[in-house]
Amino acid sequence: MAAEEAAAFEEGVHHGEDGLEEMTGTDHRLGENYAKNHPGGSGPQPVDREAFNKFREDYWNDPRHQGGW
Amino acid sequence: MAGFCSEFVGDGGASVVIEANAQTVYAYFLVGGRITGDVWLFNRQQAPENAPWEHGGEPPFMNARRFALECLDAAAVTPGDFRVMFRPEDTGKKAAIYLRDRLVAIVWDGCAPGKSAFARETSPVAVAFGDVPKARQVPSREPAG
Repeated sequence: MAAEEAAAFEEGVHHGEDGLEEMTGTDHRLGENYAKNHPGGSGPQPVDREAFNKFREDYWNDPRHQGGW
Repeated sequence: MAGFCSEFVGDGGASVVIEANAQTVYAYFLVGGRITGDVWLFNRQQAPENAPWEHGGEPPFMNARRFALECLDAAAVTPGDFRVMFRPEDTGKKAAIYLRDRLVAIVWDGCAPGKSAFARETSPVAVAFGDVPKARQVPSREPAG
């Protein structure tokens, strides 16, 4: 199932809804093609831990996340 | 075991934060800097027999053994092992998380939780790939007055 989900997701990323475009592995990932074929993709960046800890605490304390466990 | 917290920035104000502590790794979907979705990625310690969310404690929870697949090198994972892709046709509000080029999770605006490839079965912390997402239940509230 993971393979099917991956294929579906990547089809959406690389091919949109307009049709398929075949790509080799080299076309897909190597060199500058990674960034070109993975829009929005970025490497990891540091996080403001103090701010994020507050966001996370608020998130988990939200009533929407308190009752489903 | 070292923890980490790293952000992957997409388009349209969306981003994904992957946070690891000694026990578990979670991904959070953020819009405009606010968390709007979450998913358990994998445990970094042996999965507990009993579901932690049924025995008190605070999230983010480890996933229980019957729901979780093991990530063999979970202790050694670093932020640089991850890549995050944002789907442009979803206006950046959905993202796929890759661990060493393998799709391991999908998170989106509003997911609670998202999908994880390390989920053997769907649980409150992660939807198994192939399952239909279902939001964590909201507690029933008596009408005021």
